[in-house]
Amino acid sequence: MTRWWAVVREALASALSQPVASVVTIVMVAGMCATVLLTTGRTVGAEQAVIGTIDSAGTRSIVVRAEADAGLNTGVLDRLANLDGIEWAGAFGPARDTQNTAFADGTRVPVRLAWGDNLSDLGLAASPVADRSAFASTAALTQLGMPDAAGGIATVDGDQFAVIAEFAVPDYLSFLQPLVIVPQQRGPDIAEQPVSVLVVIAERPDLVAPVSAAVQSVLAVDDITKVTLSTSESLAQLRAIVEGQLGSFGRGLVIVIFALTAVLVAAILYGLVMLRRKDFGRRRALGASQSLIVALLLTQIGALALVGAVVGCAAAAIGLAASGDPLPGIAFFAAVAILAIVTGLVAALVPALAAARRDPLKELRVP
Amino acid sequence: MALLEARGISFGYGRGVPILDGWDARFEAGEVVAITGPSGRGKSTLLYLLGLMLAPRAGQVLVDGADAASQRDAARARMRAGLFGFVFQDAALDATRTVLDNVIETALYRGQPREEAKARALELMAQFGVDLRATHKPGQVSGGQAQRIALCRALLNRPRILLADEPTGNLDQDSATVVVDAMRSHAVSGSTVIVATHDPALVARCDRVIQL
Repeated sequence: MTRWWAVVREALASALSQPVASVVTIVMVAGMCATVLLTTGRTVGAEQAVIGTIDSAGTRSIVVRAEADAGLNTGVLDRLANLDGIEWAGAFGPARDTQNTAFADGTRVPVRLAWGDNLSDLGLAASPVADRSAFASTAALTQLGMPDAAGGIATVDGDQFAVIAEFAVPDYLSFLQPLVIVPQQRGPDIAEQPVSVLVVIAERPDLVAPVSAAVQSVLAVDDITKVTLSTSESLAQLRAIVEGQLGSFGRGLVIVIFALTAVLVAAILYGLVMLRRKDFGRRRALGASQSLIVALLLTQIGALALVGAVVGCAAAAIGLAASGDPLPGIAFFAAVAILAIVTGLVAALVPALAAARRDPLKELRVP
Repeated sequence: MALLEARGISFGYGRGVPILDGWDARFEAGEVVAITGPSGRGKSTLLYLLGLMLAPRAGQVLVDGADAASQRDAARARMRAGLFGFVFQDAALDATRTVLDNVIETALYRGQPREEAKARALELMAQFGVDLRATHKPGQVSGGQAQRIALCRALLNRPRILLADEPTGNLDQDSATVVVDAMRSHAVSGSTVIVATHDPALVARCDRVIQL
């Protein structure tokens, strides 16, 4: 039984012994990768940059504001947990003015109780904290005059909290700035608390509309007129349009380039196989099976295509970086490289089968 | 039981008149057999049929009494790599590889470890006086040396059946003698050697002659 590493070694030795054919193959695959990356890759990089800008504006957020007597309470979180398409949900109680207990006339900053299963996503302490431990945003700490993010705050009616850490406010909560939040536990023995702001993040931009409708249906408020729901649906639509149009343009370009190059690679490989037909005839005569010939050629082309893909990707990355264009990302580079190798192998299949079917008698008698 | 036997084999190219029609022959271990005849009579074709490179239109090629020609491609390839040795008229070496790589080429097809094949190859190359050419390319050796290198390749697996197509056709007297001596001594070890040739000197040294 022929060992696979012996086949790999023979394929590599064959590639090295035919430098011209090998270099031609490497150059073709490298050219295929570089062409795709310098055209479609540039488009994808631009698309990702535009989408990143849109996403930073909170494309997927749904915000519900409820007046104090609307009847919205923390029970809504249990009902939201049963809905699909939600990545994150948090409820915030009514804002109450607080000030640093160290200053008699300090600036007042709103504090809100906060509930949610994934408040740790906001960068808060992962372990449960005391019900009176507060986290403050940078803006809030500045206004409170608390640069070390530690100290006491008190509401106007005397309720006291301890600020224990600073946290970074994500884009979708920036409308609540300056923000001090006090994470609260929920449980069967704890009464539901009033909620004035509910923030829901959909899993994907295209889910914003259906999730909004679903959220509205589970609010269970006493008076719907005292509740407002705002979404970033228009931004999500814009995002989908940008992604769809640039994406389909890029995919179309990739298919055309790969198809054209595959035909070219196949034609050149077929020519190279024809030039070496005596070699394949001799191999067949000496005991190489058809499957071994195919395996040898595909391994050889696969190895050369791998080198070509690496060279092409590296050249394209340098080119894009030098011209200041956005890079499309590692995943796109990897996908193009893999696709180029697969294209090379598919293109090599017909020549490989042709090589495997060479008639030893006919080839060995050709001078 | 004959080591190799052709039983009623027929073969022709395209739809034309068959070159061979119901041909029979037996080849015993230890004998050197010459196949002779005018050009175009099918000497090489017969050799390739006996070597399982071509499938006959009709009839059987039996190796150790078992029909080998009707086997699947992979099985016939395994037999060619394991049981047979081939010497072609023009040596048929790979010009892009070294002489040593050429000699050990068939090890890959048999699954023989490379180091083991190398040791055997160097031994054979020393025996035939081409060991100093191991790292050279075939283009850097003479025609006689090329044929001796091809003989080393053919003998690498100690074949039970050695087939040679005009092995002395392009050689000078001395080189031809080396090749024929090697084939004769290989037959003594219990193998069958079949030579397609019209070289009278070579025919004279064979045990038996089959005229086509």
